[in-house]
Amino acid sequence: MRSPRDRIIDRNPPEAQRAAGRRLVSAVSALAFSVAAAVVVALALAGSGCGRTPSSLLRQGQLPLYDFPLYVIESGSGQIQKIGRGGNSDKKVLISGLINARSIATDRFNHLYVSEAGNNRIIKVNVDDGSFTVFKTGLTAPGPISVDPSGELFMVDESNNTVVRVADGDLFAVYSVLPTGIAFGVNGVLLVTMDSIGRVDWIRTPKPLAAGTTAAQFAASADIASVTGLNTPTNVATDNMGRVYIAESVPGIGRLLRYHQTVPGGGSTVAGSLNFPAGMAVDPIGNTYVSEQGASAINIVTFDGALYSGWTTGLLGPADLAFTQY
Amino acid sequence: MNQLIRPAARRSAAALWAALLCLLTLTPRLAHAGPWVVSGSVMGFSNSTKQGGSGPGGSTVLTQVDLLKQWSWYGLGLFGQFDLQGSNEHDTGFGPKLEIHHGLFYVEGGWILSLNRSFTDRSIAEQTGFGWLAGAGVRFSLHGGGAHEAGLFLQFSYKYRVQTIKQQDGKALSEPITQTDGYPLFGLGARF
Repeated sequence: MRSPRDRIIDRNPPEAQRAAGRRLVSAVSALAFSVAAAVVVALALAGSGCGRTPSSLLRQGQLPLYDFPLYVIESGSGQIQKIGRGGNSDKKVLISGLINARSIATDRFNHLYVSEAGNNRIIKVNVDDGSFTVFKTGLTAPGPISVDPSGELFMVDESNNTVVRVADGDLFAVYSVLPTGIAFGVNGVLLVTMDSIGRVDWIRTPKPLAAGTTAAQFAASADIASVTGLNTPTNVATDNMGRVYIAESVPGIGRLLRYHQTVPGGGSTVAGSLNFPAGMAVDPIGNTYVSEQGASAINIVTFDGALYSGWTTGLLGPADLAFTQY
Repeated sequence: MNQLIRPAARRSAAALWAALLCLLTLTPRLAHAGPWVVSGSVMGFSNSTKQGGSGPGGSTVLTQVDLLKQWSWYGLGLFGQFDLQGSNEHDTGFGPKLEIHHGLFYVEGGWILSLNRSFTDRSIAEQTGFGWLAGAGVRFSLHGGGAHEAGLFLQFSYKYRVQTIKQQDGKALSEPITQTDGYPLFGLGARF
């Protein structure tokens, strides 16, 4: 006669225990896999993002996509205007009370930098509400600024005709005349305008220079190509393709010129008869927005060359323009 | 700055390894030792643009090498990454990883303990930091054997990577750069 305990033992032989163990392993494995897979999918979805936001960091072969909102310095009122696609009907004062704001630049992280010579500083503005933090203070004469492909802010130090990296003060270009505009293009090429001598330099592979480097030493050692003979080339900008735009800031006969990316070839006139063009920015489809100080307005030159005056009017001394980077 | 990064990195790595050790020690009956796995994966693309002159362009190659020990449903090991972003940027990273597999499929998570970006012909020379990696993939045996049998296999996976850059040219960034990437990798491996 088999006892109930024997029958229990018969129903749980070692084989059955092993089978139960395998089922448990399989269940744990499937559960762990499912949880981990869900985490991976959630991470991928969270990272993919929706809508347009500034890119985190550009990868090989990419340049920023420049698009609205557009920012412009009003040098006459010490303000920066934030302008949407609607122009006149879509502008608002982002920040006011600036003292001799000289230049603005955006980076890929939705920052807006302002070079404020009157306070010897560069500020970083929150583009949502106009609040700002001081990015660098104690500067002698901060001039034009621009952001390189690595996200580093550069400025012209007007006290000694140099181009320096703001974060650490490293020297990148030295001149004997005042640089009046800087911008970065394809492969990090540094573009420098000097309106007093009618020249624009393409500095390929800009590198830190030793402290005390002279203008002559820099000219001899740097990989520079230049376009000369221009009439007061005060400002420079690049578009999504890295093409180079130069503003000849002359009253009445000012021109907007365009050149190829890494060599100063292919020069062509985008617009002429401008009244003291001071700043420009190019949108994703190639329309160029030009601030004309003589007309107190921002005008548009379409990608096919048509000029539309008065897109945004009533600006007091519009100067530097900068699109948001995406 | 190293003093700022390293304690956090050490704490995170220690926590990760402690968790892995718990898995190993607390589940001995569930964890039947399996094979060693070594694999390499790669992905690449190139592009160029021209509008008048030469516009932006270049090539990118992303690679990952893994060495791990597999148990019945998980594996532990190390991974290394080497990326070429054109001729101007080389990215390297390595660290420990945990893998959970089920049949042909697997998911993985890793800690990029050391991340380094080296630049040439750029205004900066080096960036350093750390990161995380998550991925999901599938392995197909090339010899028709089971999912854990020795031999060669093909591997297809999708990685999600978060990189945090803390230092630039040896100096702390005022605001760290966080970059996320999602990308596929294709490769070959072996169990032994």
